[in-house]
Amino acid sequence: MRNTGKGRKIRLGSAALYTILTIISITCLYPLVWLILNSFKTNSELFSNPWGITPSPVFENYKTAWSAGKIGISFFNSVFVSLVSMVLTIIIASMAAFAITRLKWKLSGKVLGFLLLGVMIPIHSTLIPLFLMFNKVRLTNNYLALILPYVAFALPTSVFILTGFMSTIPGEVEEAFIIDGGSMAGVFWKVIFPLSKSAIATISIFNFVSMWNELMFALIFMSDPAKMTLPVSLTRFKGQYSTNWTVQLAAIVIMVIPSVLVYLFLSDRIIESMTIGAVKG
Amino acid sequence: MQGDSIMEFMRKNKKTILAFVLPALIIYTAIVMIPILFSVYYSFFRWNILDTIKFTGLNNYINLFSKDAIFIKSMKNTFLLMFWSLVIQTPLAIALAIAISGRIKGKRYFKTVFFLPNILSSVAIGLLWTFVYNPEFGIVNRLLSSVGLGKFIRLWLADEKTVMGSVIAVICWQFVGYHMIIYLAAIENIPADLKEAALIDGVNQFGMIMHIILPLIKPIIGIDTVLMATGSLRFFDLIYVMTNGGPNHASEVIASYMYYKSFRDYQYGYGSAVSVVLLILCLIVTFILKKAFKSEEIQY
Repeated sequence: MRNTGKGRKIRLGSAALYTILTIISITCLYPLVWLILNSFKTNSELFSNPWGITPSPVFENYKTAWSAGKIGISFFNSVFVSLVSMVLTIIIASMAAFAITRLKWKLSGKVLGFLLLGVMIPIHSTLIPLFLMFNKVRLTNNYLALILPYVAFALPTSVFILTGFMSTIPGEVEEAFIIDGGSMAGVFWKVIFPLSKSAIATISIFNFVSMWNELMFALIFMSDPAKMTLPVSLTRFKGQYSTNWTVQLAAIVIMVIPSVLVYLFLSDRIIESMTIGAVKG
Repeated sequence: MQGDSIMEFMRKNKKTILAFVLPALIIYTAIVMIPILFSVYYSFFRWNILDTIKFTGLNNYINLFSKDAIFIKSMKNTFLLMFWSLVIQTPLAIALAIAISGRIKGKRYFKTVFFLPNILSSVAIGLLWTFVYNPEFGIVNRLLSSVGLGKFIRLWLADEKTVMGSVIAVICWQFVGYHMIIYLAAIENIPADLKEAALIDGVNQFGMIMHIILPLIKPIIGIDTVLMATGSLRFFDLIYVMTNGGPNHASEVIASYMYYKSFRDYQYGYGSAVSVVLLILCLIVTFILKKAFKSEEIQY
């Protein structure tokens, strides 16, 4: 008797738990589903029927957003800026981590500490001086005006994760390479860099996600529509197409879909990469 | 033996060391550290775009705290945002993490879906939610009227009374999954024999949570609180997209006010002072919270 009572209680409890979890997961997903469904409607249909699936989907919204709304140009700007920043961060951060963990010098600990200070610094406190400096050397509206800050602000966490990883690689592998007549640059490129590929994958993912989504630097340093990245041109879009709601929806879908698609295939890896730096700090 | 000494020699080569560390050090110093010093320096000047630049000592700071009602409002809103983020998200994230820890069916699905909003850009999320809150076709108002709660229909983002609450709801929607993952990892790191021992002692689910899980993840709660608090201080994207600090500065936060003063009013000195206050707040909050949680760290 007692046993069945307990069993029922557990079953009831887990049914309630599943119901709550399912409701929360729908809360997470529904706005996105709503977004995609409505991006295929006309404006008047959005007002008359904001819930359902449209019987006659319109693709015009996407065409307008992509070409007339210049979302297409911004898309490629974003890809370029994020990719270049990510690759530079990987190279520069792993070189620094190599110097800190594999080379012997007195200041290495201090330099690491200095780099890690950056984790606490809000980008806002650098905006005005950087803006004035970039204006002076005519770097605003140049891709470098985004690439340089993206790399600089990505360095602290990236170096932190890479030094943690590289310090666990045993020294024998390097010695074997050097005895065979290799150089220190060779040790880095041919031994340590390839061995660190899992840590490099981690920093690539979280840096790319934050660079792809970055708004504040992009808003201030890129005023030329031909050079804007996606987040900025989406905020502009709101003003430009203020009453053309469904075109705005299509533009949001264009920004969101690549992230969601990549996420579908690599979700475990992405979740791990984006949270690992936080907890270890 | 010989290989060892060659290796030692090469590891100490000054040129090699410089070549590897300088790129990072130069770009980081030039783009992160030096501008901070300039921000502090600029904050002592009255510097408007049309005016001459004039040293004013601490006047910018005095004005901020004694004369600038909007700045005070933005400080209040920032701490309001921090407070509610912590109060809503921490228990919810821990509860969700506990719920999906262990061998629950559909775990991967819940984990993936709860985390999903974190990979999306805040701009896209902000725009999407302005649609959700739209008074005419938005989900919120339509839902309210369809279940007979029409009297609660509001202009959510245009009403000074509801705007902060509406934004905070979106913040929680976006980030709770992130914090859940952090707690999930911590809970799954608790040694299994500890849980088994408790089960043998006849501890029930509730007791397990109160006496085993919560005390053991305390250090992680500390780290996560620091993350949430400093994240709230820096908050900008969603506010900029959804309300731009409005209506009538009702949702202004420190970061959006700094942007407004510096790049809409072009008051570089005053804007710098705001950014220095923000920097100091970040340092203080990190320091206090780290200290508060460090004194009670527990070993397994």
